Amino acid sequence: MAKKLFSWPSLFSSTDEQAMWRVRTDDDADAFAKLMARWQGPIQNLCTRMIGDAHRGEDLAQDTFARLYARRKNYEPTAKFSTFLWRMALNICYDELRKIKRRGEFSLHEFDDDDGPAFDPGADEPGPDARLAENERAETVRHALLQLAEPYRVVVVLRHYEGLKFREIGDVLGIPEGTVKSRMAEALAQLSKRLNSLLTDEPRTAPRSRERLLI
Amino acid sequence: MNHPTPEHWMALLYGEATETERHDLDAHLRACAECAAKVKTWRASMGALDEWKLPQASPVRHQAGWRWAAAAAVLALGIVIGRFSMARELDNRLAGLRSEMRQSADAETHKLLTDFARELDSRRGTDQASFLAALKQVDAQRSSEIARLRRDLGTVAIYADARLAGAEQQLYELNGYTPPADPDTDADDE
Repeated sequence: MAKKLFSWPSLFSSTDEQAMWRVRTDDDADAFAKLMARWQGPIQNLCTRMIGDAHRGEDLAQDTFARLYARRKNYEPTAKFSTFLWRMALNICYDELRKIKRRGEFSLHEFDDDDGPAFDPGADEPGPDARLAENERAETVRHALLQLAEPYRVVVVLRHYEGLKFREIGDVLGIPEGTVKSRMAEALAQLSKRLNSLLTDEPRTAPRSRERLLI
Repeated sequence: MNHPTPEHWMALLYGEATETERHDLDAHLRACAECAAKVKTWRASMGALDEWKLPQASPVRHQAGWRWAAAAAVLALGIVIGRFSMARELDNRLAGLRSEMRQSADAETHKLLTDFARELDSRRGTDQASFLAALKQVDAQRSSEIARLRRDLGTVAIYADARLAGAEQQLYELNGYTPPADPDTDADDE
C-alpha cells in the first residue's frame, strides 16, 4: 500500500486498481468511465483479433465491460486489474468461439473497407493499387491467425499485438512463462508456413467475397 | 554445440532477454546457421503479423512506457517541481471549474430572465383582456340603465302631461264658477 502512495500515477491520477476499488465499493460511475476510456481500445483489439471480426469485436468489448460492472464485487484488490480484465475478455471470446463452433462454421469473410486504419489526410496515402495490396496482405494475415489453434492464437495476440510480457500472459492464462514462450515459437513457426506466399512476396489473390469454412 | 531453446529466442525477439542473454544469443546466432535460419523465419512471421493493422489501436505497452518515462522525468526534477506542477494542475482545474460555473450561472440567469419576461407578457395580455371585458360589461350595464331611465322618464312625462291637462281643465272650470247664494245668510240680512 505504501508503495502505491509514491508511485507515479498516484500523483495526478488513480491507478486502475484504485479506480476498480472505487467501482467495487462505491459504484463510482466516474471511475468506471475512466477505466473504460483507458481499456476500451486494447480490449476491443483483443476481441477483434481473437474472433477476426471488427464489428463483433466491438460488441464483445462492450460485453466485457458490462460483465466487469456486473461482477465488480468479485474483484479482489490484491489482484492486478489488467490481469482480471484480460481474463474476463478472453472468457467472453472463448464463449463466442464456442458458439461459432457449435454452429459448425467459422466466418472468414473479408474485413469491410471501414475496418481498416482510419484515413489520415496528412499522411502519405498510398494509391489505390497499393491500398488494395495492403488490404490483401492484412486479409492473408487475419486468415492465417484465425486458422491457428486458440492456445497459440491467444499468445500471439497478447504478446505481439497487445504488448503484454510473457510473464503477464502466463498470469492471465494461468500457465508457466516457459510454456507461453514455447507456444509463441510454435505459433510463429505455423504462421510462417501459412504465410508462405506473403513472406516470399508472391502475388496472391485474397478472397473477394464472404466465404465460410467448415471446421 | 548446445542450441538455445525456443524460449530463449522468443525472449530475444521480443526484447525481454537480459543484457547477458542477448550477448550470448547474438554470439550463437553468428556461429550457428541452423539457429539463424529459425530466427529468420520467426522474424519474418513477426513482420508479416504487423501487416494486419486495426484502427484506434492503443496497446498498453505504449501507456506503460510513457508512464515510466514521465515518472523518471518527475523524479529527476524533484518534488518541488512536482508540487508546482500539481498546484498548476489544480489551478487549471479550478479555473476551468470557475469558468464552467460562470457559464452555467449565466445560462441559468438568462433562462430565468427569459421565462420571467415571457410570463410577464403573458400575464399582461391576460390582464388587458380581463380589463377590456370588465369595461365592456360596465358599458353595457350603463347603456341598459340609461335606456331604462329614458323609458321611465317617458312614462313620467306622459303622466305629467295628462295631469297638467287635467289641472288646466280644472282651472278653466274654476275660472267660470259662480258659487250659489247661501239662503241662511240672505235671511239674516233682511
